[in-house]
Amino acid sequence: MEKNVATIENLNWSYRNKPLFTNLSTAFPKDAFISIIGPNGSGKTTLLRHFLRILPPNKGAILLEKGDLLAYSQRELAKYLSYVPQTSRLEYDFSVYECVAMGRYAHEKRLANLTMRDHKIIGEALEVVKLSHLKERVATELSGGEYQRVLIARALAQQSKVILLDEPVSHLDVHHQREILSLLSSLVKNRIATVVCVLHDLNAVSAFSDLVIMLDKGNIVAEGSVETVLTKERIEEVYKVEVDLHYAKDAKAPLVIPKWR
Amino acid sequence: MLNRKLYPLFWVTLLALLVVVTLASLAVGPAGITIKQTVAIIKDGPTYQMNATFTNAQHRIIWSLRLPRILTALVAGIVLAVSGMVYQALFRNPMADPYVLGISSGAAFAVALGIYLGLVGGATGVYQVPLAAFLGSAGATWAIFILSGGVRRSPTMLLLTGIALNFLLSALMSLFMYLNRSQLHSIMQWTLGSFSTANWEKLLIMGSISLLALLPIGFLNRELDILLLDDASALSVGVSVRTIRLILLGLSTLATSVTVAFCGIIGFVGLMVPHIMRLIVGPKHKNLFLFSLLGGALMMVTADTLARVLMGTTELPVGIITAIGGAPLFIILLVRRKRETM
Amino acid sequence: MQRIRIPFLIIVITITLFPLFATGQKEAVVSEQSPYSITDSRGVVITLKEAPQRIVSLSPNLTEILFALGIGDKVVGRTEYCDYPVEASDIPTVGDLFSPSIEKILSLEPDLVVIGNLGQAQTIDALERSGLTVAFIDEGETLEGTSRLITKVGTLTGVPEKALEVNQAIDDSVKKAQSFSFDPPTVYYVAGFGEWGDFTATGDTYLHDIITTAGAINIASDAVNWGYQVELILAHDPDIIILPALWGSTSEETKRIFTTTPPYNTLTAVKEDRIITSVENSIIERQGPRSGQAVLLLAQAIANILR
Repeated sequence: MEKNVATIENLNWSYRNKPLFTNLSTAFPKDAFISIIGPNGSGKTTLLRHFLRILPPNKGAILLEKGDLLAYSQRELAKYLSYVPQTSRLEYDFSVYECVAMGRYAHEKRLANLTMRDHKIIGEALEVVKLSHLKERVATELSGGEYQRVLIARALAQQSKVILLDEPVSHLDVHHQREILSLLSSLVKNRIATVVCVLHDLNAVSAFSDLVIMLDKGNIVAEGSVETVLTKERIEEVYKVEVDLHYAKDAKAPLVIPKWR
Repeated sequence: MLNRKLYPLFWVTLLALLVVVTLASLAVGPAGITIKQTVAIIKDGPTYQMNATFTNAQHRIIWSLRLPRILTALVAGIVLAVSGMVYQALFRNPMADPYVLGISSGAAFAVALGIYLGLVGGATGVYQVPLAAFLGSAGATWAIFILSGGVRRSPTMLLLTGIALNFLLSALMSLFMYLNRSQLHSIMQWTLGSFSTANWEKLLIMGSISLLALLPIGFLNRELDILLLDDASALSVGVSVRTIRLILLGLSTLATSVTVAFCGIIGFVGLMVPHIMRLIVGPKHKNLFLFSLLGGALMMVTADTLARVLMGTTELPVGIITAIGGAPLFIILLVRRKRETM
Repeated sequence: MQRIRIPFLIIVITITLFPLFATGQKEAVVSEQSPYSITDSRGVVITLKEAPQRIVSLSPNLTEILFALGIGDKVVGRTEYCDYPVEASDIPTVGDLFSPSIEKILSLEPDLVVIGNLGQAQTIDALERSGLTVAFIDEGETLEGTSRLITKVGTLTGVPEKALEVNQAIDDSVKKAQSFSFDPPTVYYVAGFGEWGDFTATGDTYLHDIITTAGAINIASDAVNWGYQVELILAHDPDIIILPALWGSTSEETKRIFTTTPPYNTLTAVKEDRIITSVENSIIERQGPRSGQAVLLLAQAIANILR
């Protein structure tokens, strides 16, 4: 029980009478970098949305530290889970600082302003994503990649035990991809948070994950370490594309190269 | 946008302006009461004491007509501006106004129907019309809510259902107006909005209900900010989106419905004031609330004063003034916005 | 797309301009010595070969006048609102004041259609296009205008002597009214009040002329177009209030509401019950043969109150 930050037990869920999840069960261990992969439509985002309680399960449950997910108050849940969406368009002129400050909501007292401590944490979050120099800038003026980092900073400011991210680096250039993923990895290594990340880039998955969960059509087809999940047969079967796997010297994690032509 | 440090100064300036306009409004009107007389009348207090400077009638005009009227305009301005602010946040759309969910079309329809059925009209009590209007607003909003699937559905669904129902109710209202052509002008008069029938009793009812309803909104500023994010983000940060939305919707709808019931349909204030304030003091609702409040009061008192003095012996419906003043402003803002996003 | 546009545009323009090409008025055939001829209030010369035998009246006041002139039996069509005299209700109606049924009117085969100041230009136009003779008679909203009105109708319909009689009767009533000697009181006429706005007999209305001829001073004489502000009523604090019954209600009920609605209940005239409710709307508002009576009744009521 202490080992896992979250356990999914026999989750059943249908969308418009078409079942997606049927008795899905898995567990997210504590302080791990967990990647959720799978082809489009396999249910990765949907699974995350269940954690947000946007979608209620038809049957089954998700259990967190203190019990059923559904029993938590919204604020309590926010202290436990934070979420970085895939794309998020903000149409209002909040500053970067204010955007990140929203992450402190669950910790704020009802009618009080942000405390010194809140400000400190927001500042640190901005430091970590390297956006301190832009903190007064209006968030809508940032590039897609910079804004993605703002969202991550917000999740960090929330100081939650688990950070759920839905393709957080798809819009970033390779430099920033590496930067963010390294940052997330270090959070895990320093036991600051557990990271659950939906990723498309199999090589990123390969480089950073402690645990990989592969979904296909709503079912978990593979679950385990990188080398056990990312095999040529499995990737080809699920993604329906031919790949070559290369292993660097002494490396257990493969480099996945799809056959483009 | 204004420098943050100047916000307090800006607020005080607006407040001063409001006080000035309010006092000036007391002193102007077709009855020809001079400023000197106005001041004397105010000093005299609410009960008339024989005085050489002014007559009983003049005293009554100031205390029983103008004063409650101006205060009613003030309250209406506050209610519409703050409600507009809330609706713009709820729908994540800076072009939303408090009437999108059927408050205005419901009220107008109910009044038209009431007149047609002979239930409201010249020969009935003073509160018949406000009651009918209020029930109409409440009914329309409720219907939109149910038809669109409630808070569970996205704000967009609510908005679209609202548009559809507004069309339907307007068409029905036109039908009743046509079937009842002799009363047509009465209905038109009412829908255009006016403070001319304001009195202390109505002010008490309208003011207490609507201001009390708005009060909690002042404490939900953080939530309003966060609601501007998409639903998933707002939930993840800890805001009970559905509950907060319901509370905000309920409170602002109540306040607006009561105001419309007593004052008719006055447009543009709910749309323009929060929108303009957002351009000046930014989107944080902690600021927006205080400035929309003042801006709404100021705009409404000014519009009502103009309504009373522009045409001498007769008055224009205040809804026309706000529309004529607001529409060009609206277009300017639209053009500006378009240019910015290009 | 471009290719379709231009011909389409030409068609649209032609259709919209077509009415301009169609010439309007059709004047009735004239015989040199016809006595049934007037210049109507548009300036159009209307001439009839002989006295009209089938008249459609599209205004309540004109209907009244026709009956007063003794030719009510020649009226074959009226509007819904032509309610006086009581005999008029036997005549079939052709609709309301704003959009009467052209078809219905045509089916009655009138040789003359008379229409007054509440008539719409579209109605006149449509009737004339259908070949009917239409006389638009509106001589201004004064008692003087009324006498011209009656004269014109009388001339056109072949009973000018009767018209003279009717006008004389009106004059006599007015003279009688003006024989009451009271100091002219200030008066306010309540055409509408309360929730639906304040409306009164402003200086440009017929009512205003009736009121002043009856010997009173209308506080709203400087206002126009019926609209008024309630604070002006309070400021003027009129001596007498004329309160006709509200639409759809009785005089007692109207008076009860008026006297209990703020701020009207603070007026001196209300407190001292100087309210005239006895004069019926249609008599006092309608420009016609009963206008003399209206002035007299009003003067009488005022005299009674001031006594």
